[in-house]
Amino acid sequence: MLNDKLKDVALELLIFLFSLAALVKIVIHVSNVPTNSLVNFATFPIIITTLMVILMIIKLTGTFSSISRLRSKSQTSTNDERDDRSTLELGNVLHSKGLIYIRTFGTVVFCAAYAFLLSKVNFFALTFVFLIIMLLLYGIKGLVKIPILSVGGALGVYFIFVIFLKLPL
Amino acid sequence: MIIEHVVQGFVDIIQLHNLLFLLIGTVLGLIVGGLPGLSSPMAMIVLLPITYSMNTLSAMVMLMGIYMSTKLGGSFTAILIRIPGTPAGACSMLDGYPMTLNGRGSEALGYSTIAAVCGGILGWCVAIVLVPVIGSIAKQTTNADIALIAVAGLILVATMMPGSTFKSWIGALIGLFFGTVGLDPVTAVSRYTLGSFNLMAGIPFMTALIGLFGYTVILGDVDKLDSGIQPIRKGTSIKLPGILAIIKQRMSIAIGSAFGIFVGMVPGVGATTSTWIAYGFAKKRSKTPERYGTGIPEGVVVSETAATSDIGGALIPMLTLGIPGDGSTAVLLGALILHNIQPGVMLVSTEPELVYGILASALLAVFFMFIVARLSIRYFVFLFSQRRAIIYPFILVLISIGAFASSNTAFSIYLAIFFGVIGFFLESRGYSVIPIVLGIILGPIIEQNSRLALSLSQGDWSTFVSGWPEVTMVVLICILIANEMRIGLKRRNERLRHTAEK
Repeated sequence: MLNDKLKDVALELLIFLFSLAALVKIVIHVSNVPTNSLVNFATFPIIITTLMVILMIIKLTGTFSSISRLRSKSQTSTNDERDDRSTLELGNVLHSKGLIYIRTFGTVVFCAAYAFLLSKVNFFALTFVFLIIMLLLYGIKGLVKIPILSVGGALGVYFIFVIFLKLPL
Repeated sequence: MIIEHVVQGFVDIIQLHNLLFLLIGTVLGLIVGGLPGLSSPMAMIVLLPITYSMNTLSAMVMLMGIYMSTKLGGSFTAILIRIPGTPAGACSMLDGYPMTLNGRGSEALGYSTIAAVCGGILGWCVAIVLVPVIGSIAKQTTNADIALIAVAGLILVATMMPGSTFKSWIGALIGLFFGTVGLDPVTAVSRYTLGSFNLMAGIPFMTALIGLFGYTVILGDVDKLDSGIQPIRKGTSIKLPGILAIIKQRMSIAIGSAFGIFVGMVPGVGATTSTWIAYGFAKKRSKTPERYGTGIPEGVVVSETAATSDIGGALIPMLTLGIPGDGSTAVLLGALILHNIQPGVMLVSTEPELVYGILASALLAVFFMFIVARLSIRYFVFLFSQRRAIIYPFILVLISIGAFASSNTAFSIYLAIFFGVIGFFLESRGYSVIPIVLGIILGPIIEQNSRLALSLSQGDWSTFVSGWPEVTMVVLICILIANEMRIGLKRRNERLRHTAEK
């Protein structure tokens, strides 16, 4: 529970800093661009970012107070409440969590790489390789299954997007 | 006049190519609805690039086919293998799965199918009556009205979302912020473009949609790729109930459709909520509430009727006010924008053929759903058994190319991935992406109409409270905000009291 709250704080802090940066940026921008009207290009962004900053301050305050409550609770807890998982179980949990992180990060990286190579490499070949990589990343096994699925998928996508829709791929 | 439009709508739809697109959409919707992890908005987004070369009505027809049939598809897997394909299908599982365990799975599928048809027809009937009525009222709105309706709609959506309202409001603000990126529509001053030429036109709505409904879902489901699927019994079929059995379910159908339609009309609530409310109400008023959850047809019928009649309800604010009721209607709005149709209060009067064509396709989609489900259940059962680990790589290719197709540059894919990552982190901490999507759609509408209203009134802010519709909207907005603040303070005080007592 405490870990969850800490993750909440991290995200809320990020949103707060982002909102603050956006507010400062637009205020500086409007001061540099001459404008006669009270309602101008910066009005709406200033209202939005100000509201975001205010709401994030309220949210952060709430989350910090939850964390301090949880911390005081855990300090008064008895020894019986200690986690007694064995080392092997912990190892399994860490391994599966590691796999999830690799798959999540891998999905983002390979999709970005796919986008980068779209204009540089043959579309069919790229899609074929991408599908093989993603199927392997997601744990699919099979020396015959993977290539067949990848060829089928690449062909289908090629037909739909290049032949039928005539996209410049 | 309205009857002429309705008839013309059907005439436009009943053409071979439109019927074919409706069939394709229905088949895909049943498949996607049945596959856990894939949602109706995602299926629609995946197909959206294919609709680029179609005319607007054909594109909307195909998307309506998907929208209508995903609900039934989601219930099929809920009933057969206790894994709902869609959140709305979870309610059908309560009685549907026990029926399967009792050897009455085919019967449960039959009740589900008939209930979906009844719900779809009833939802359509209400929509066809209310759309012209609300559309004609909406025609008389001013810029100030449009801005206030959009603000009220956004706050209502954020308030009605399940989970934390505060987080939904933050999500809506994030969406509104992203809606400001690009050149200011009035003065052409660049805002938050970071010097990028690609961002000068703003963030393409479709790209954000693909990111938030496509990449976010896949990234969020990565931890479920290894989950096993229970095998479905061979020879599964749909056993339709007889006329007398359907008549016996009339109260369940009435309750399900009433809640589905009226809850569906409230933006942001969605079918999931309407099914649970309808189920809870039906159980409460039943003389034998203890039977609910043990495997009775009433439980399946009430939830399935609510799920599909919700579509008719959700179409009403979407077509008359340009406010999407749920993620799927947000994608429908995106499809309209993609085809250079501006949704909003004037849509019914400026594009009546399109509006009534969409409504006609909603009714035809119900019958297509029935026919396709009846004939092809065993093939769907095979597909439902496939692992997400096999399906997701193909979805990634489709949505990546879909993002590319919106601007023919790889930048759109990077942007979609960016939104996907943002959506993933936000969803992991309990923020829904729907308010973000709505903020991106409604933000420019709110800003442009507010500035126009102020420009026309020469800077006089009282234009926002100049008539009873405006005052009503302002009062509604204030009530929604005040109510949420009151609930938040009440919860905080209870928590503090509880902590003090400990």
